[in-house]
Amino acid sequence: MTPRRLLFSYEQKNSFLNSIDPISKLFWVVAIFICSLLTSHALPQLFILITIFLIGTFLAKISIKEYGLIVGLMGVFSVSFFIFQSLVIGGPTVLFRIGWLPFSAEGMDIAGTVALRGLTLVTAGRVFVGATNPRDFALALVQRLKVSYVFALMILMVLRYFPLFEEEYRELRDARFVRGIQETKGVRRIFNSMKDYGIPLLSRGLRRAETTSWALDSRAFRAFHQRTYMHEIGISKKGILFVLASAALMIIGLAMNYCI
Amino acid sequence: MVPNLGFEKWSSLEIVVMVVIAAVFGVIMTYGQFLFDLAYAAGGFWAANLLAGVFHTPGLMAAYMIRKKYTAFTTQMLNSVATVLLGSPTGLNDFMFGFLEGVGFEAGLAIWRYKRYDWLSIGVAAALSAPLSSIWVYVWLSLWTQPFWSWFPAEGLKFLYIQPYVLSIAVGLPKSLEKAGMVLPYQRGV
Repeated sequence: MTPRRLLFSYEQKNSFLNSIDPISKLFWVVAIFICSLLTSHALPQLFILITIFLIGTFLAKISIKEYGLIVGLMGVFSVSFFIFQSLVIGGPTVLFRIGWLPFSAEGMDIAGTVALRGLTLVTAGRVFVGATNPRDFALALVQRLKVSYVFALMILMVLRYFPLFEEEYRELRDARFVRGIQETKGVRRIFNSMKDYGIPLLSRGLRRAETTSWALDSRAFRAFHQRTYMHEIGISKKGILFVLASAALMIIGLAMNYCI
Repeated sequence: MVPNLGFEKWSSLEIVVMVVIAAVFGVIMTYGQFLFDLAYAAGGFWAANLLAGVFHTPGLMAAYMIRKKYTAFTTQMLNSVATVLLGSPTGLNDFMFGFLEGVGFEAGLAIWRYKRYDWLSIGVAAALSAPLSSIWVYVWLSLWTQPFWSWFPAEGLKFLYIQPYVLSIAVGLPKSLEKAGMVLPYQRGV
């Protein structure tokens, strides 16, 4: 159960999306989120998904491999959802049958919309997280959106804990190996891992919490209301242009939706 | 723009405890989501909701351990950020689930004016969070387009499905840690 295999880690790349500010990218993601929810047909939903995929590939330089496991697993959910719901929803225009099971145009359209929506939101999240420095994101939340700096610091602390967990996971796994505990395989392994590693990780994390809190206090955490920052996060012109261009594409997607 | 959650009421230790819970459950829930998706593929809402309880746990566990107003909501939101950053297969939906579940938790705990933290108050808070998270399932999966029978019974009974997870993890696990000698934040009186 190593987090790094799944982590949508940010990578410093020389790409357009990396160079723009986090707030513009946040607006972009929220716009996609809303647009995807407003879309009620499969074709415009597919258009939005392809747009995001192209933005991710060309503007954020994310390779097909990097979309990887997460998008792939959402794909499994989407395909199963599509098949299951196409049959459940049904409709008068039966396009084909598999055995005695009818697949209608109406059912496939609705099920396809929702299945693609899942993929759209996951892909958009992948692009956002892959192209946004978490530190800049947290600073932007504080400086631009006026979120409490304590909450922003909590986000950064969560991120700081992941590599520690990875290290502790390795230690736990080695300790279990030395004691001759066999790992189960398949789906049961995920289930057992959550229990076998989750509880030790939690108890060790909680034991360490006191030391961490001392470290925070000794650095005058929350001692002053006014804070100064080494890095000021602004909203760039490139970012605004990107949001406007994306908004235009989203409007095309929505127009397609209402024209169908 | 953002409601004041009153961060000053938490000690540094309590803040770190919330962070640890959010981070650990971030990892657990990311994996849990894979199982959830596989369960859905195998048996639809009925099978998937059998695993839903784990998603309702972190906020309530933090609330049980810290026993202060808005702890459940803040931890659940923090956890949703963690799952998004870790690559949860439901991606940005986790923010919405985190928000709605957090509101449900706070509503449940507010019934006792944040003075009672035991299996009853935690169970009620979990039960109230279930229909709220179902609201987002309804919107996200456009459930109004689907026959009522295909989703309502499973979603409607979610408040019961989640109880074993919530009570054993959010209440049972801290009690076990306490028995093992760990001093929980509320016992310190900070």
